[in-house]
Amino acid sequence: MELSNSSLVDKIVSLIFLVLLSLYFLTDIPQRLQFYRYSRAVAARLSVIESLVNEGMNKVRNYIVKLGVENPDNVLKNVVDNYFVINPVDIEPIDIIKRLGHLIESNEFKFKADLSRLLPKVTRDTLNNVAVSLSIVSALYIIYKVLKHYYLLGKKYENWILLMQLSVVLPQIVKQLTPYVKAIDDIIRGVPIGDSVGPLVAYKIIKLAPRMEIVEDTIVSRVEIEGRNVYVVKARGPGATVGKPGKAVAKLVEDLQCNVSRIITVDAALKLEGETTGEVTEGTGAAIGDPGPEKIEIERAAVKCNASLDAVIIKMSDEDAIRSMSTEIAEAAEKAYQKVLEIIRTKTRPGDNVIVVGVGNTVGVY
Amino acid sequence: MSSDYLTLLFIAIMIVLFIQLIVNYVSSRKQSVEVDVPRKIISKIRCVHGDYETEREYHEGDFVGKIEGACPKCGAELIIDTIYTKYFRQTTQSRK
Ligand SMILES: [Zn+2]
Repeated sequence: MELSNSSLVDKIVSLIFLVLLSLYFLTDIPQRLQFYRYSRAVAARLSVIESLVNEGMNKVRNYIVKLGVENPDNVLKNVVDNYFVINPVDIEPIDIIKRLGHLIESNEFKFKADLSRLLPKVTRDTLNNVAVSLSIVSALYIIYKVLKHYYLLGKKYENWILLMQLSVVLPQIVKQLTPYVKAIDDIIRGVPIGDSVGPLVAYKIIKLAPRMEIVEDTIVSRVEIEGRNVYVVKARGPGATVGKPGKAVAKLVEDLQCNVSRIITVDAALKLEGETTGEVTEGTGAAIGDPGPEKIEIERAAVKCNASLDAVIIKMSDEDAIRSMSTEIAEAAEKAYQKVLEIIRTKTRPGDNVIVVGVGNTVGVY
Repeated sequence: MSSDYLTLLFIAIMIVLFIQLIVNYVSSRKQSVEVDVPRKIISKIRCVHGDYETEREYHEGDFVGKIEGACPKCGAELIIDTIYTKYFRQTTQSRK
């Protein structure tokens, strides 16, 4: 009795294993299950990203309603899907940087002109805040659209490898996008963010010295430091804008008839994982993270005038760059300021013209 | 007798795997909710002559370079010198 019972259990168990093994090896049920799991994971993460986009849109919507716009949804809809820039032809590289610069500039001009038409009564600083927060929202929206595109594509063609890749990479993307949504609040309120460290260093040099708008949204101010004429270029604050530091330097160099001995650029730079936030280091080159047109202007100005080009960078993570400025970075701004002063003292002579460029978004910094 | 133990072992493994499957399913259901890191935005105000310094919480409309009245010591201008944010890190952060 006992023996026959145990042998029956034995038989059932071996049968189950046999069935499971044949299901595993001889059918594509495991792949289907994987497919189902990956597609569920991707759908869940995508809905998180969608809610991030909606959260960002709501923030901007509330803000522009407060500024007196009657139909904010119209503005949002008009902005998030428009204003793309088509890359210039690159199989013919002659003057490509000029073409790219021209496209970026005219797109920006169009955007700002449309915005000021929709928001006629606000100041330029507020308008810049609106413009930056709108461009954050539309960038988030585009990322969401592209991810959704791959998700639907993977489902459509039952491409489980595509879905697997998405499900692996999406948690990281969610974590990277979250600070951007939070940053909208700070930009709307006009709180300096981590990227404002360059303009903050510029401010520390010029304090409240008179500012002259040399090109649109970019100012230059002249101060004297131990006998050197220091021309400081930064975006025009305290609204959120990065200005046009490259064009400003080009114009300034022209005005000074190339009588410039040194150009010092100060900017926030992406740190490697494991490096400390707020580390200040010095190198050579133009420290500026634009697609190219502004950076090349600074490099060309330096070459044309045979001026040394210094880069002072403040290291931070991408999250630190976009959220409101942390204590470490504020302290690093002071260190970077001292470093710039040291470069001016030790590497230039009295009577020299020196240009200092504070690169970054000047939100909350005059 | 030994085949009995083997059967028991197989059944135990199957039960464990099944429980793990359910646990996985349940834990993937509830989304890890991003917690806001508590923070405090501070405006640091300094006298232009550098003899007086104070900190207060950020007010709407503050910006670096804004004139905030006169220095109580020398009567010169008080200017917002820096605006920074104190982030208070949570000690226990549940990460999957
Ligand atoms: Zn004083």
